[in-house]
Amino acid sequence: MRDSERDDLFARARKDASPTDDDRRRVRGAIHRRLGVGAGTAVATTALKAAASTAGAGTVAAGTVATGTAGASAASVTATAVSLSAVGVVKITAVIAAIAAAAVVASTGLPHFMAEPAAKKADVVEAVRPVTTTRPVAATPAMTAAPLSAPPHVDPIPAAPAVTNPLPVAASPMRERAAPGPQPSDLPVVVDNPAPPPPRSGTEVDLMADVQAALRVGDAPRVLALVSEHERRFPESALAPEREGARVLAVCASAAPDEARTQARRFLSTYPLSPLGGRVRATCGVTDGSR
Amino acid sequence: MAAPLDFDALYEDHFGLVWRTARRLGVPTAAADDVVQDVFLVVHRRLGDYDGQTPPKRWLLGITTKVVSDHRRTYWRKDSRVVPHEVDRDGVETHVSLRPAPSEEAEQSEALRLVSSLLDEIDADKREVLVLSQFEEMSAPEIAELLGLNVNTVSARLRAARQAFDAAYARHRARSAWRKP
Repeated sequence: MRDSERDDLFARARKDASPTDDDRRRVRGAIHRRLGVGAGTAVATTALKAAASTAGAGTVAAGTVATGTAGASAASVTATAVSLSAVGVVKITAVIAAIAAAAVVASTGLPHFMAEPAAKKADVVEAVRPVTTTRPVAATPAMTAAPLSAPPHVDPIPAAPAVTNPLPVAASPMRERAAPGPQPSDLPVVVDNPAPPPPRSGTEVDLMADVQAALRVGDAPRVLALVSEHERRFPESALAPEREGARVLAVCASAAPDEARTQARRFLSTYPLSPLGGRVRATCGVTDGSR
Repeated sequence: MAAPLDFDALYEDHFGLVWRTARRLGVPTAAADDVVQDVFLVVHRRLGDYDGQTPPKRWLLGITTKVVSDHRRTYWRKDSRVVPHEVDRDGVETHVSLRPAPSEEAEQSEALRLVSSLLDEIDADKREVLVLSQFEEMSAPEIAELLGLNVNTVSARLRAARQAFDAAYARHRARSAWRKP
């Protein structure tokens, strides 16, 4: 066998064995979901939670600290899971800047993926909403500075397979993969899943979107008002951790530091696994807590 | 002491390596998603155990090999053609026959199937360097660093590996010719 023949054979085999960009995105999204599900609370409305998390979590501090310590702590798991979701980070940059305290962190403590080229960000954005909306998300670097073009409630379904699918989560990627025809990103939701989706109140989602919007512009009083409304109307909501996280962030932006830290600590001990934990720590200047 | 590994960076840098390795070891396309996900979940779980000495690539290769092996045992055990291969403490293949099941084989591309089966016929040491060289397109010095070997050793092993591969190919041709009318 001549060298060139062998090289050619290997080259063809290598090509056959190589993943596509779509494989890379899809698997990343699936890993993200599995890490998120594994670390987070096992609540049936993971979809909603994921939406809120995606929109608001993934703090700079969490991404850096947690992957750095690389411990097996749950906090680390959560934070790393979220750090996969660069979209969360992208979005949060604006939020953090608006909110105040963490602005410095945003400009100095950027984890590596914040510095990645736009293409990669777009990549991740795609990955995070594999089975979601058809509404385009402007995944440009401008997102990091400008207000978001896509409010959080438009891409609420990333974890949908895990939600409505009674099978282990591990099975869902296979299902996605096996589905012929449209790519995951084209699928409306979970087309092959006969189980009814969990009840989703558009109103609640709208309300949380308003909360996010108010957070984004740093309107703490409005955040507090909306959060109270949410608590009144949806006291048992699966989005309670997100609601409480938003409340704490708003408090941290407006209340006295001591009060802010107290609330932050309470939040961190109540929701030790919340993806918002890192953000709360960064914004409220809390260094201890559940980690 | 190397810096702690960053999960996202590992994923970005080595996703292709993991995927290709799984495919080469016979994981069908339809199962590649699951296997690769599992690899990275194991990686994630074991980040804290990483010794800081092993090159990350080698560490990942070890985990990948192990996960593929586990998947075979778990999901494809009933296939008599699957011989669970042995993996040493570092997850390095020591004995392999990860030949895909016939149904998977049909699905796998001809070139990949052929290369995988020919690689199965050569020693693990040789296979390792050949795969890194031809599949992962690493240079001899890079391979030497990865495996903690002398460059000359790698070069010699590569030569031997190519010869062994060629011999396997010749046998394959002979068998094919015999089978064909």
